[in-house]
Amino acid sequence: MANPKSGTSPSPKTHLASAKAGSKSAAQPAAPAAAAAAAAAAAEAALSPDDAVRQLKRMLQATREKLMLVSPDMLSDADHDAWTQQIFEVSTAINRLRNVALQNLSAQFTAELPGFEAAASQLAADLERLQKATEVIKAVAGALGVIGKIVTLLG
Amino acid sequence: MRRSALALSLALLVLHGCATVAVERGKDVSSAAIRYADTTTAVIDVAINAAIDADSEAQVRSAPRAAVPPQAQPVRAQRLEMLDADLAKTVSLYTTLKHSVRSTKAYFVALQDLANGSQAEATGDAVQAVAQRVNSVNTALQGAAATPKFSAAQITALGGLASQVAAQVHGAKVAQALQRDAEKIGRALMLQQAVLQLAGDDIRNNLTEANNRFYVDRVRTPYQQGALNAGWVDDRRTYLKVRALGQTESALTAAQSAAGQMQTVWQRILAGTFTASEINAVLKDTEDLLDAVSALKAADKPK
Repeated sequence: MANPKSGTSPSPKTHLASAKAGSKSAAQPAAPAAAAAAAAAAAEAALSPDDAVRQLKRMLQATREKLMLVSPDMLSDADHDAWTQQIFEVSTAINRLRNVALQNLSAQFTAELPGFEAAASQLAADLERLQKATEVIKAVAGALGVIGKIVTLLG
Repeated sequence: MRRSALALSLALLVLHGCATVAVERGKDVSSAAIRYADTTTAVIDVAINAAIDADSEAQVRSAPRAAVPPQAQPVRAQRLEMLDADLAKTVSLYTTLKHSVRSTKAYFVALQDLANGSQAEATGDAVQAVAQRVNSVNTALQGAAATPKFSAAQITALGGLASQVAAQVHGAKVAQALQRDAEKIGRALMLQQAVLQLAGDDIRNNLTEANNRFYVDRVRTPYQQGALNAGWVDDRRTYLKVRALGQTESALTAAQSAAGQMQTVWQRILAGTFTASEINAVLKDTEDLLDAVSALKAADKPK
């Protein structure tokens, strides 16, 4: 979470620069810069592709959190335009990375579902067999009861 | 005779203990996993809203200061369409994942049914009934003076033995299922954990951004302008508490992430070290997060 310093009154440019610092670039839009930084970090840590996507998304979210701390009323027109553009680009990148992560997870789930369903059917069959065994014993008891009554009637 | 009876009793006691352990483990794992699946689907619902709201918050925050000239409006419409298309896909993908999580829940419901489906008592009663019926048939065939094949004590003992055997069979079935499906259960838990982490990220992000906006609008700006009132006290407290929760959450997330790297979830379940309470602890963190979202939403409502 961002940690704004309360009680200070930084200039709009300071706010924007701080937000840009989060994206590691003061000149380029936030998304490509954050992407490059995240890619380097991912390579360094040898993350799995899923983890790398998730980490990149987190970094972009952290960047947008910083951008959102800017007070728009304190920006010049030019800074406001740049800030708006950065928010749009970072938001687009976050949405797309989220979708990539969700697609990957969904594909993994889809591959596993037939196995889960087969295993659930197997459990139901196991339970049915247990219940049937008891039912058979009950049926034997019932049959013996009938035999007893028949013998009594015949006797 | 008495020694063999004692040995048989001891053997039954030991076997019963093993069966009970397997059944209890099956009950624990299934009930915790069902709760895990339920919470995951609930978190997905919150995450869908969080993803959309965070994006909308950003758009509201960065809205143009003046009226947009007509020639610039198509560009803005195109941008909105781009964002909407991605978010619609997000909703669709999250919904698909929710269905998948429900499918895994179906497995754990079946496991719970099996674990709760002991036939021990019913089998004992049924065997006692068979013994009593044998006596009845014998009496019918040989007359009232006939000696019963089984005494009352024997009938009770037969019922008890049958009950023990049925409990063993049941325990063995549960143990076999746990062993057979070990890999699948481990995968199901890990996939759900991944969903929970991804959805948790979206919720935390929205919480943080909403809290930051709340801070700028309701805490920092009034402070800078010197416009402090009683409401400012409440707003500042709300902001700081949510911010502190966010910091706690990041520590917890790191711990969860480390746990998520373990590819031995199921081995830990079999060893009894990955327990229902551990799953419940993870869920507690998630519930705290959801509570914080509700608290901030309540505080952010216009007064």
